[in-house]
Amino acid sequence: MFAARAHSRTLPFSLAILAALALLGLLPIDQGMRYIVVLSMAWGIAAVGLDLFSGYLGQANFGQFAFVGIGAYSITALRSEANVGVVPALLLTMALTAVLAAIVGAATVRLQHFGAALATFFFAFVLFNVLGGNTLDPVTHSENGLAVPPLSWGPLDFSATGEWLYWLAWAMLLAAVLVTSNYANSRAGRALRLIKRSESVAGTLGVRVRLAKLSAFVFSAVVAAAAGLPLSLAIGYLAPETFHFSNSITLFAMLVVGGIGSIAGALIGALIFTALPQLMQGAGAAEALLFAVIFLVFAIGLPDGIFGLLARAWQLAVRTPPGSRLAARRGSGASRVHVASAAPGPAPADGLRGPGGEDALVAEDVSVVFGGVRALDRVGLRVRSASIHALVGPNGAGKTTFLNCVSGLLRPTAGRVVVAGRDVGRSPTHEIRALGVSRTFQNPSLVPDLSVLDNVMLGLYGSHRWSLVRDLAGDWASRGRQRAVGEQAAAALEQVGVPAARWDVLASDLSLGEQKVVDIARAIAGGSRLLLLDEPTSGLGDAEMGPLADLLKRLRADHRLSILVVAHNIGFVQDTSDTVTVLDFGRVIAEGEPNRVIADPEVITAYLGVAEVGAEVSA
Amino acid sequence: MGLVGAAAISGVAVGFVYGMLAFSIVLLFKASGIPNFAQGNIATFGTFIVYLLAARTGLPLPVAIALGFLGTAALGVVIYLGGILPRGEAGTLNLAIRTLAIYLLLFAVMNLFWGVGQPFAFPRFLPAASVPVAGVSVSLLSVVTVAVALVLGGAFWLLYNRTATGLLLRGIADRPEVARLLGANTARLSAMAWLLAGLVAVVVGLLTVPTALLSSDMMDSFFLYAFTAALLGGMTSLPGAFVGGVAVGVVSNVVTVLRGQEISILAIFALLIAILLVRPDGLFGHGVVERL
Amino acid sequence: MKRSFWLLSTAVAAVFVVAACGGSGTATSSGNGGATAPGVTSDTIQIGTTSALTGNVSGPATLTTNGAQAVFDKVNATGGIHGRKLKVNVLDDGYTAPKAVANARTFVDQPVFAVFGGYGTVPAQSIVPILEQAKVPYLFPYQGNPYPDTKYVFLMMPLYRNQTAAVIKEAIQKYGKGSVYALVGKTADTPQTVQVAQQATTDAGGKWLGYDEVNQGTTDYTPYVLRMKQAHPDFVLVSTTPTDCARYVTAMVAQGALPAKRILGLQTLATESFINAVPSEASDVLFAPGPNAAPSNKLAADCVATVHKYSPNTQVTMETLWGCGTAQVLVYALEKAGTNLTRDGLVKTLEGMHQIDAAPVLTPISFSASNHVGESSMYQFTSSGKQLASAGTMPIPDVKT
Repeated sequence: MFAARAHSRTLPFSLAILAALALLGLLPIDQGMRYIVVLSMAWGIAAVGLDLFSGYLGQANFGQFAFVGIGAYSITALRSEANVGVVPALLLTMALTAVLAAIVGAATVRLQHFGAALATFFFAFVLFNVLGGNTLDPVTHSENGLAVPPLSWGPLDFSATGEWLYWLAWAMLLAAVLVTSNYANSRAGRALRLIKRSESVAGTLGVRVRLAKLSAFVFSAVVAAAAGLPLSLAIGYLAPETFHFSNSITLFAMLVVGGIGSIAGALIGALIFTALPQLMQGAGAAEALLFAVIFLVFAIGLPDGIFGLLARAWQLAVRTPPGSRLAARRGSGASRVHVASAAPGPAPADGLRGPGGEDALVAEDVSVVFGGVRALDRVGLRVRSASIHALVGPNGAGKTTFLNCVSGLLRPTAGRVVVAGRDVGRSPTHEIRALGVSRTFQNPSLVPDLSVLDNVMLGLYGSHRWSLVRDLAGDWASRGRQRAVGEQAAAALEQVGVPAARWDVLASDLSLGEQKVVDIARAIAGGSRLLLLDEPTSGLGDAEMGPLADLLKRLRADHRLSILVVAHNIGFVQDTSDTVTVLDFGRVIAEGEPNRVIADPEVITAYLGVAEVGAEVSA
Repeated sequence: MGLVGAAAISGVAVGFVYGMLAFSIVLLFKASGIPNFAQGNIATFGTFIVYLLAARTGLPLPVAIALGFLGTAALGVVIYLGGILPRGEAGTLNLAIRTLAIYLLLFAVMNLFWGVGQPFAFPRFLPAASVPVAGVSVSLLSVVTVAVALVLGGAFWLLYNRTATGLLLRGIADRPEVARLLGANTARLSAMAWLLAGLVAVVVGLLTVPTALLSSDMMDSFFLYAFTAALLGGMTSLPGAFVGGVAVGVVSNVVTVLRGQEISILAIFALLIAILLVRPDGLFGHGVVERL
Repeated sequence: MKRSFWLLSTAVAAVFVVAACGGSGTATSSGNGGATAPGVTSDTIQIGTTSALTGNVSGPATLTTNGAQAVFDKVNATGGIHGRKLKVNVLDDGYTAPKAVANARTFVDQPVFAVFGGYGTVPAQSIVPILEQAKVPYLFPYQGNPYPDTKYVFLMMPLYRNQTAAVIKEAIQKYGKGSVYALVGKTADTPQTVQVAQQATTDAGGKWLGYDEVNQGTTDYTPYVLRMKQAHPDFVLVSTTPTDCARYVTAMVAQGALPAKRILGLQTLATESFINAVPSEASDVLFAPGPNAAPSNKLAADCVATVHKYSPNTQVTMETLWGCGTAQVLVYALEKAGTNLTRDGLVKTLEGMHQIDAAPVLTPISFSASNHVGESSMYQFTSSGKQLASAGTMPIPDVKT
């Protein structure tokens, strides 16, 4: 089930809002209004951080405001008790928060069923009690609250009534938006969005899923802690009630109404939710009701929030045809890609030969037992290098299970799986990926809200060494690599025959057949050596089947790829494969050359239940 | 019987209350895949209905309770039809967020219309007797709570595991398209699940209100512990909810009596994290299998 | 692309500018034509009130606000104060610091002549620094925390710590010497409250057994009751939020752990909502001070009539009468301050009050340059059959800390 869709490259919208806020700051508005906007910006910082975790990674986090509280109290305590300057206080606080978030996150990212959501909410509850409790009393002064020392720097007065607090908050908001936007639109961000779609698939592409989730959690927590600085300066006085755990729910409401997964939406939500109650004074208790109704209506009917509405309106207004945006875009890898037909394609490999020129894949006596069910029963298989090996069988025969074993999603109960001379039976998915094994899926598992090109770039996730810090620093820090990745992805797309006009289309707008082809592009983009294809032909019409067969043959011939393909269509198998293995109820019932295997009576019985061959076999 | 023992017994008593609320969360989760954050407030809402009918309009209490059941069951169905069914394919995160919005909505409604003068004392429906259990006065209310919990728990366990309807209910959470293909009317089944959740909610509310006093935020603190109990037991395990509840109740009360409230909250948090680290699906739950 | 970016920016900016103008429009200053002070014109006095109209304490907070408003409406209907009508800007703070601060800033900008009323500790604590800095008088919020070193803050209700000492002393005097156990909520004053309670107990010849601390919203009070029961106290002092007091006391009854003599509390217990929420076995043994007389007391008759006439939908409870009484004191002070109304003048007028019966429903009020807490005595409350009764007053002296 897909969570709400996220949006790529929304920075222009966010910057527009920031520009408007800058304009507002220059106007002579009264103190009350100024204060409200500063508060909104502080909330906005926290919301932007949360958006990365909940909008792009799609995980619930109901403890975000607790980190704002940690930030506020830590910075203030350091400044007032330990006489630390504001900048070191901020940095120390962010480091402290990172450590704390890493600890909490390490436990919560493994949880299923909204366990993480509750655990973070409980964390917020614990923090609220600790802030008001005795354990940290010397630091927090518990219920007495903590007065925030006013801040000034030379002639600049950042205190609550000073002019410059507005600009401090604004600058911090700008920084938060830029860094978060870099994260969301980078390789790391794409990986998060893939994890949202399917953690297993992400694993097979080389993503260290738990680490990625933890990093995102720590990031959003640190951003929230930074929001504590403008918040504490604005209110002037910290009390535990200010950081009540219900505020984390309010943050979520902001995201939903503003538009989750767009960063700009976080800004919109924060501004509306903080400013609106002030403008609606006098409504009293009815205000809370209206708030809740708006929240619910948006959650149901407008899951893309206000941002979604604006984006759609914008598209109508600007009215660019889909393809030409490709040329107009700056700074992303796509524009640097030229449609070069002579592109070398995925890194040519020498087939996947082990040290002794062995076969690409050897499976011996592989068994998988689930409870009482034998999904695979002593399956043996041998894929020679630079060959196409088909794996066929009726539904439920265990074909996908076998692929799962080879790619590391499943550990065989017994038997050996050897890839290029290495036993990978107990290896994690990303290690197997690093050996050059890649696969496609029956259910393509493309990221629906990423473009075709972005999806294929994910195939290159494991192929370059990278760092999150580089991603956070933005496009300019890694322009060369971005371009290289973009070109390789483009080349893979050309290889599989996806026209350039479609590269900018969101994966959710593709037909199933197109998705499968893009899945293959993603699999070969990273320069793989053993390709596992899970039913690439199902859903394709006759016209599309031919080019696909040609593609496989090309990959075998030009790039010496070893391919294990699960297919149903006998004609396709006959046309492309060198060898065929037939599975039925988890056991191998036939193996050998396609023509011979197809005529095998046991195979025919398994497939058709009758002794005669029908018109299945096409020429 | 020392202080600790007495605290433990009281912990079991309150643990069954947490457990019942957790039970209602799990039963809905098993049928819909959504953790219902509004469950606590549905319980409060239902209790308010009974209170208003009995204390303000003067209806006899049993009649008020019956009407309260009716009303809350209807509320559950309304929430489903109005809040969950429309665009129901939006994903579990979005649906969970909707239940958050409903939580806020119910709270705002109760505060706006019935808030003035709270907390209210609910009319007594049980004699104020108590049973001495090893030096602790265990109220009749607690005994009744345990009894009701066991009966309800047993009944629903039978429903989910031994009847066709129950299997269908579990099926629609796991794979709604398949269930539909098998002829199940998924909308009707889901509505039924929400209706049942509403009924159980009123029961929980009525068993809580004598000690907690009726106010719009009556269930707030219970809810947190109940959710913790559900997670500890495993979000897919009905008996697990009670085990989790009793665990939370006992740990909380014993540590409070020894070390005070702040430490007891930290203790529960530590317990939650510890159990989830070792068994991410809870003590008795099972994971979700992803279809690739 | 660049052009459309700026187009978008301008559009968004325009929206904000409109909103900003609209927003600040609600707080335009009324102009000071021929006036003597901010917030005062020839025919109006602008007052600001920040109150918890939404949130958990909206019940009692709304009652205090409505009770006060009834008085203001009556005053306006009968000619105003020296020809000036009272205009009150009531803003909701939801019992949270950020909103209260926002309201305070709005009041400073508006400007208001003074800020009056409000309910609870948190909003008050957060706005005192702002109002003090802006030299705006802050009058009679419903709370008992002290604000030393302030010139413009005036409280009415005796401080919680003083109430604590007094109620223990009076109870021992009235019901005989005995042992005391306390349950206190986590508030700013907790450490002092406990220390004060302990001192008062021993000073009066009683025995101090100990205390427990609880947070708001505790689910199960049984463990605390068990601890208290073990100690077999004669008196139990319960000092936390009204709802939590009620839950604790209910648990006491459930465990058969009522104290041998009395349940003691601060003014939070002398309220109808508390009495109605707890079993009568408990309310019948209550002893607590209240800042104003009970609705059934004839001293309250005037306020009862005013509320019935000018705010007929408002229930008359202890909180309503508090609102009425404090409003009457404000009116008295404004009248006494004369036509040449200034903020410092108001301060001086207040500080010159000595044992004034400005509001019959309250006890006599005194302020001075060194004392900004108006009441120095409170009514004694007990309850019988769910009816609050106030009989006589008890002095609430300042405790030395």
